Formats: sequence, C-alpha cells, structure tokens
Amino acid sequence: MTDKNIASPIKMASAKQDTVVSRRNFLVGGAASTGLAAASLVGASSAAASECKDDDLNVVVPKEVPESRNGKLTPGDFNAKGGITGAEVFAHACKQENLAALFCCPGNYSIINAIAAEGISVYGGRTEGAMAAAADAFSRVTGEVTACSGTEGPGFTQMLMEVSSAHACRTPLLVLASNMLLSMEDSYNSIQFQLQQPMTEGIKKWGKRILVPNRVHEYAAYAFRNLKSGVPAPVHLDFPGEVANAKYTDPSELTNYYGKEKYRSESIPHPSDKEIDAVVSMIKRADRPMIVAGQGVFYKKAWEALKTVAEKNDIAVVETGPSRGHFPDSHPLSAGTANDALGSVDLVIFVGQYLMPTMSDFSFGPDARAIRIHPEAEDLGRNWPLDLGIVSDEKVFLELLADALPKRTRSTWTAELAAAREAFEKTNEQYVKLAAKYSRDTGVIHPGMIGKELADFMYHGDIPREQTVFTVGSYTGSMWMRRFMRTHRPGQLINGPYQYYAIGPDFGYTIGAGAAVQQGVGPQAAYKGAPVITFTGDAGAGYSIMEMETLMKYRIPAIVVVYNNNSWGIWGLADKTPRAKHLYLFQENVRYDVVAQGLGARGEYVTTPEAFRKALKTAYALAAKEGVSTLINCQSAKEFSNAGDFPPGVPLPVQPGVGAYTH
Amino acid sequence: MMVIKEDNAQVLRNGLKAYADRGVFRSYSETVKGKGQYEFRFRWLGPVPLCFSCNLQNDTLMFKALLPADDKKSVTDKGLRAFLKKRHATKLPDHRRIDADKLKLSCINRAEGFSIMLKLLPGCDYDYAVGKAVNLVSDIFNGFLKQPENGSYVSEHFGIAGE
Repeated sequence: MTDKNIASPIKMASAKQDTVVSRRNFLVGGAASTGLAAASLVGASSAAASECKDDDLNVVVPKEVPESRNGKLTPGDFNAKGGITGAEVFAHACKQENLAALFCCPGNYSIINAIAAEGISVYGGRTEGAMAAAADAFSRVTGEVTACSGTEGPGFTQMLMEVSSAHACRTPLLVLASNMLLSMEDSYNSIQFQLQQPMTEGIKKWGKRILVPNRVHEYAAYAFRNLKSGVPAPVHLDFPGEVANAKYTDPSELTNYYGKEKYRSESIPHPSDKEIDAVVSMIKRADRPMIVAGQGVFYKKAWEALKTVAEKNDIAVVETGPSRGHFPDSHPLSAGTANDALGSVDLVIFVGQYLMPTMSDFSFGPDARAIRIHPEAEDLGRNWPLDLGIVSDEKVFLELLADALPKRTRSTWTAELAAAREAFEKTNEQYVKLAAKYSRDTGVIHPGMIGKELADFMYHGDIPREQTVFTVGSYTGSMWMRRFMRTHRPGQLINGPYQYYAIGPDFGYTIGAGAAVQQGVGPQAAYKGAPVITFTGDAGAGYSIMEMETLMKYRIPAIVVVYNNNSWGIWGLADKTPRAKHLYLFQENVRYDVVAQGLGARGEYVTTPEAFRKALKTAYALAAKEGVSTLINCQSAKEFSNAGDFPPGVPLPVQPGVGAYTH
Repeated sequence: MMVIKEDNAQVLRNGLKAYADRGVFRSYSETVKGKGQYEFRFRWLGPVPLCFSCNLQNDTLMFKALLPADDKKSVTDKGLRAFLKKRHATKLPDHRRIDADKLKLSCINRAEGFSIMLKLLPGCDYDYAVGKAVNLVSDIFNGFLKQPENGSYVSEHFGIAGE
C-alpha cells in the first residue's frame, strides 16, 4: 500500500455521499411476526417506505420460518407412543415455570426441539454467543427467566463471554448445552467432548451436568429454584445424550416428579418492624437522603413502591444496573443527571444493588450514612461499610417503608438536585455545540451529535418518549450516549456492557430486546411491536453483525446505529508505542451498512448529523410499518476521542447515575 | 514559643476515628511523629493507603502525595489548583463549601506526588477542618478526577476503566 492509499479518514469521509439508501425488496407483510402493531404508535413518515425497491439481491425469508413459528404444538406425553423423552420432561418443566423465551443455535437438539414443541418462544440465530446475549437482554427488559442453548463443545464455549456478562448483570439466565453421551465420557469418541461445568465456575449461581437420566425433572427443579429465588444469576445445565433421549412411560420412573408448588417456595424475606423503625429514624435525621435503586427493584417489579417512598418523603433516587427505567429520569426527585449533588448525600439507601460498588466507584461523600437492603444476608457489608443492613425482598421493604414514612418535603434538597440536573444539561449543551462544530469542520459525525440526534428523535420528536427501548453498547461512544439517553418507564434502556464490559454482544442484545417488545412481555406490553434502537461501535459490529440476518428473519423491528470511528475505542493507548498502533486500527470507512444489506436488512451510510437525522426517521418508519431493520453506519473518526485536539475527548462518567456502567 | 493545644489533637483524632469506626477508613493507624505532629494512614479511595498529617504547631493539615505526580505545567496541575479555588465558591451549598476565612487550601506538586495542604486560619476549629479536609479528598477523587481533561492522567495512573 502506498502512502496515498493511507488517507486521512476525515478528508476521505467528507468526500463521500451523505446517504446511501439500500434498494431492497422487503417482502412487505411476508412474515407472521411483523411489528404491525407499532404502526399506530408511529408518527414518522410513511413515504419513506417507497425508497425500498426491487434490486439485484434476493435475500428472502423462506416460508418455512413463519409457518414453523405457527406450527402445531407437540409436547411430550407419557401416553405417547414410546413415552416421553427426558428432553420433553425438562421442556415441560420449563413451560410450567413460564420460561419466557429460548435463544439458540442448532445443537443440544433434543432439548431445543422439545422446548419449541411446548410452545415456548424460540429464536435461532447465527452464533450461540449472540443468542446468549439476546436471552440476557430479553430478561433485562422484562425481568423474566430466559434461556440460551448451544451444542456441547463449540456452541457452549461460544456462549461464555455472554454468560459472564449475564453473571455480572445478575440475569436469571438458564444456560443449556450438550449432546454427547455419558457412555463415551473422556473417550473423545466422535466430536465435541467438553467438560462444561468447570468452565462456568465463577460465572453461574448453580450448575449441573446431569448424570442420572431419571433425575431430569428433579434437576429442572434445582435450576428454577435458583433462578427464581434470592439474587438471580445464570444457572447452567448440561444434558448428556442418555439424559435427553431417555424415555419414560410413567411418572413413577422419574425421581421427585411433582409440581413447582412442592419443589420451591414463593416465601420471601421481610424486614422486622424494628428494622423499618430504624430506617425511618435514619431518614428523619437525614437532610439529603438518596435511594440507589438497583436491578433488584426492576426484577421484583417494585417501581411503584419506590416512587411512593420517594415522593412521600422527598427522597432522591438514582438508578443503577444493567437496565434502567425503574425510576424515570424526568422525575423531579431523580438524581440520574444530578452528578454535582451526589457528594451532598448524607444518607444513601441501597435497594436491590446486586453488585456492590466499592467506595471508589460511587461518588458519595464520606459523611453519607449507608443502609443496604438485600435479599441475602451473605452479601451485606461487602465492599461498602454499612450503618444498617437489612435482609429483605426489595418490594416488600419499599411497601412497608412507604407505609411507615411520615410525609415530608425537603425544598432545599430538591432545589439542589434541580440545580445539579441543570448544570449537567448545560454542560451537555456546551458539548453539543462543540460536537456540531467538530462535525462541520471534519465532514464526519462526532459521537456527541449521534447522541443529540438520537435523543431528539426518541424523546422530543413525534413518538412518545416512553416508547423506544434503547441499548447502549460500544466503549468510547457509550460514554457520549449515556449523557443523552434517558428513561421514562421500566425496562426502557439496556446498559449493554454493564460491569463485565464485553464489546460486541450488542446485535444480540438488539434481538432479545426487540423480541421482548415484539411480544409485549411484562413492562413492554404497552409498546408491543415498537422498534428498538441500539448504539454500537465498529469494534462491536465485528463480533455480532451477522445477527442483522436474524433480525430480518424474525422481522424484529430494529435500528442499529454503528459509530464507525475506524478503530478500537482505546486506540490512544498505543500513542507512545508506535509499533503497536496498528493493533488498534481497522481499515478506514468500512461499510457495515453494505454488510447489512447483504444480510437482507437495510443499510445507510451517513457522514453528517443532518443525514443521520433523515436516515433515522426513514429507518424507524420502515421498522414500525414493515418490520424491516436498518443498520445506520455513522462515519466518524477516532481522533474525536483525543481530548487535546477535540476537547472534551471522552466525557468521563460519574457514578451512580445515567453515566454508570461499572455498577 | 507557640502553645500547642493538645485538645486539638484529640478533636482531630476523634474526627478521623469516627470515619474509621464507620468503616469508611480501613486499616487505620496513627503515629506520633513529634511534638504536636501526627500522621494517620488508612485505606479509602484509590488503590493505595492515604497519609494524612497534622502539625499542631503551625495549624496545618496535609494529605501527603495524595495523587501521582505530574508535570508542573500539566493540565492536571493547573486544573487541581483551579479546583481547590472553586471549593470556596459562594454558589456551593454550605455543606459543600470550604470557608475561605477559615481554611486556606494549597497544592504542592513534587516528585512524590500532589499533596494537599489546609492551613487553619484564626477562628477555625479542628473539628471543622478535619471534616472539610476529608470531604475535600472525596471531591478530588469523585469530582476533579472525573473531569474529562484529566482522562489521560487517570488512565495513566489509575488504569483504564473497562479493561
């Protein structure tokens, strides 16, 4: 390659066409699960659909896909010819436990087929890892138990990054795998032998390679006991061939074969009256109390009780966790953007903060007393010194506290919160001015403008601000997005790389979040069929872009915005090591939009905020009306993260709050 | 000869010990370094123990080498001095402001790192000074170091978030 081929990304990009609209035939109405319901929710232009025309590509959804999704249910039955298989026994338990969905690739065949036969929602994608991410995301926006599956060896190991991520998020994820025979254990007979359980050590709540075939139902009970009690986290079961394929003609052939009412309890821990009194007393003494509402508030569906407590006593609330929305950012008591006020807090009440931060992670001052409410005693006092620790279910605690708290207003405190939020927004306005200037000067889009345009579209445009589920992915780009993204109802935002910070699962998250909204599960019911939007980076796209094909296969309406800055986000680390810099760089101006087109989706390539705005509107209209997904490739430049040349570079997040990502 | 009020030592000790008793300061210790001079070490914010010294003879408190050293003309040096100045701003609420009539703040940038010094002015009691000193450190870690212009400094000295 000659020097003239190594062009400045900024100059090259500015010479490119602003918008390239793909010319695709989308088989309008051709899939059973098109997001038609969303059409009524959408104010975007319908004229945009006319931009999709016939072309020379012929990527189509085979008729077997919608037919199969509406196919006859064939659950196992002891009275069927030959009896019921172990896989069917397990699938039946999943159905009884209301397993919300399964995301998988072919492999572990008996199990996934049996789960599908029960009528549980199943989705097949391109990699097991992305499907595990999809399952994680489905849980994160619904609060329900979801499953992923892969075959014994490669499929299972493909899932590990996302299972680790789900573990950091404390997601109730049921991880399923296997296919091999116990009788051939350790022999390396045929293919794929893998000792799985040691590999999920440290990233699961509980796991088991089922060794005794007729205990399959008993172990299903173990799994759901762990998934549905205490603090959730992934549970890993692997099913050797003898277990999945064993046959039974009578329940007496199985161990402990009885219903969920007998093998687990709905009992939950309650705080004592004395403990509630102690909390009330500490709140009375506080001038500036704040509740940190973690994922436990979401999973226990405790958002109404939280709101009641906050409003009754003017207690500020800041959200944390892998998904957000259980306390709206627009609420006058929200401290989501009140960074400057965190240091003023004199009483912090952690409720459902499953992954405790250290005192270096969260920006509370040394004078803040701390109360923590957690469903399990073992974690109380870890990392953060407590003035009071209470073992309790989050919802029960908040409901009891709401009853016990006296009404009180704290005008000085709420004024300080308001001032802090205003300061945050003023800083954002300054950042937008800079981002607009940088975009104009360079001819490519600064990430600040991507955030601004997305926020304007989702929260200040034609669609209701509560409607769109948004996934924040990427690394440096995410620091910008979090400053602009807001939540207005539960399950509205997935903090993709929460804590574990896997770069890449974002297309998988899009599938899971999109499927949940498409089905209208839990808090998504009111927005059933609405398109979801995801922000990812070019590094992330490299891991899971193939799942654009899965989005189209199921007509899950989605828009994936790729922040294409031609590099890994941390490219600046190589500044002092010239021989290493190439490790951090990609080819410039890679066309992820064209890849999306080849996968049957739409692709748009934009280099200006104006073109992005137009592309977003078009993409949303097509997603809402026809279930067509679009990848918008936003050409940017790695240099934008250099604070010296383009201040502020990457805005550093203050935690907890909208910027939070480690806890 | 200056009279050292040993009562002040007890006030200082009580103030810091209260944080240790609550678990905010971990691995807490106190050493008498000389007449009216005390040094307290504890783990709290950041990866290394903090060293807080007090000289009752000249009414000064100091967090020694609180942050890793940087060039005297660096953005961090300039920014930290400006940050300290803003701690006196009248727009800050009382519970966050440091009264300029009671405490004089300064920053010393030497090879061993940035030290923060608080000089008690006439009329300032040690109870006030200790509380403000500890909260100042919290503000430096949670506010100053989170400012985007300090991103490179933080990356270099405290590691990269997300990795």
